[in-house]
Amino acid sequence: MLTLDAVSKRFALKAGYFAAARRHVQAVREVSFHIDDGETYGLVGESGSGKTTTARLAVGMYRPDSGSISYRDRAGVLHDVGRSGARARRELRTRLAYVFQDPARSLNPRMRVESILLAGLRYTADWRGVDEGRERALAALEAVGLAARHLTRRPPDFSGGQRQRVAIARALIVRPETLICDEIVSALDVSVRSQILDLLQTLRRELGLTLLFISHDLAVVTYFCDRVGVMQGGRLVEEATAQELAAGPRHQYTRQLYAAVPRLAGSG
Amino acid sequence: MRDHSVRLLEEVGIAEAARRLGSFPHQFSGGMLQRVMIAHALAAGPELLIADEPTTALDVTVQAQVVDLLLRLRAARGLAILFISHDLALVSQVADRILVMYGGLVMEQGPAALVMSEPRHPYTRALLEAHLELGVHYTDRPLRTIPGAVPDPLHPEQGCPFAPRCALAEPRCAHAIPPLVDERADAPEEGVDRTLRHRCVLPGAKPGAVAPGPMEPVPC
Repeated sequence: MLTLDAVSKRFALKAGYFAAARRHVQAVREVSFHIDDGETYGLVGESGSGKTTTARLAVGMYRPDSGSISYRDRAGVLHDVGRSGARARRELRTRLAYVFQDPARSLNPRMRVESILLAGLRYTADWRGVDEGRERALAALEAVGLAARHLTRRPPDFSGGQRQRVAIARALIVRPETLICDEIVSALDVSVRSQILDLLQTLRRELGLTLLFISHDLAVVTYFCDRVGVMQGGRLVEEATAQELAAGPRHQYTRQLYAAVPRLAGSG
Repeated sequence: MRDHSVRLLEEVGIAEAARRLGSFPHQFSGGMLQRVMIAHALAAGPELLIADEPTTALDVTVQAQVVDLLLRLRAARGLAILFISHDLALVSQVADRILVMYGGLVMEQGPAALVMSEPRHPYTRALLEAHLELGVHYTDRPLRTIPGAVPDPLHPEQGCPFAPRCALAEPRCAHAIPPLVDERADAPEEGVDRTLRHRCVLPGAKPGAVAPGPMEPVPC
């Protein structure tokens, strides 16, 4: 179970050399929520609302300025994500894995898929050498619908949907309990998006994954998630089950998002 | 020249236009940048505006504002707009006529309401069914996907490019590209061409044009 309790994070803006005072942007303000084991929790909101920062805090990529982030793994061990040291983070990386927004930018175009996948495992407590790593790389690749022959290819040889599969495989190689998916279908066409969501659906069912699923697309989030948090200006402004949110959002801001979703006109 | 630029920026809804003329692109938000691009396109007073995925990178709320702006300009300037998008719901809201393309070919073409309510081509129907309507939950039904991948332009199909992914395909579909057929040629209405064309030998055939999402070995 992942728990965020009143978490805040601000970043310093790059000021000029002669700027009198440093300016800050408050990216996340007192955000609290939890995700149960096996649950899919959605975060929805516009660009700049703090979704990605929240997700990165949740895996320990950033440290919170205040508040606490903890993760109780399936074995019952409690990890303090917000204050973890290097050793604890190697351990955490075998429980929580992160899939980045844009595979065209997050996958090194010069690396072969095998090296990309091994890099996902190398800096974790589970690293047992290259031989075992290769076996796990192949298993991860097959889990996302790709095959052994793809191990020697490089990202530019793939389509957008296939690249996203590689990015998911890189996260799966650590056999995580929890997967954090940051806008992973936002750059994809409708039909490819459905295929990737379908894949995630299968994976969460078969592997019993817990998911933090981030998207600015309200239709996707309310389809795919169990519960949803709505973010605006760094705050969590509404939290509800996906069905409740789709049936009628209560917060003014969610209603605006809701009204802006294009609907099919006049289809039978 | 400067006055003209200020007027254009005002027309696309940029506040303090005179001051913003001196701004650099990175000082604008995504939605504001798209407005500047529209002003840029309108500068020479065109009759036709080609908008290629003008809102794809934008949030829904900003998308709604940009679409609103385009529709306002259409009315104010009497513009014709070619609106290119992969978002069928968005297209259905802005267009008078819709042209559906696949593998470099026109698959279907006609008045928007007719294409949306009675698609003749299985590809159009598959797109409509793959659209995720707000309010559907994964516990209600599985996602409808279009299995397989778009054709490789270097190795085009001999027949209908959609045939390998089409649940209704017959042997003849793979042999030759079906011709584009005029199904109805109604009289133009308010200047809008009402002709309905499609490129399918089984127009309007119904059942299960879309498989309910079994995973292909190497899709997308």
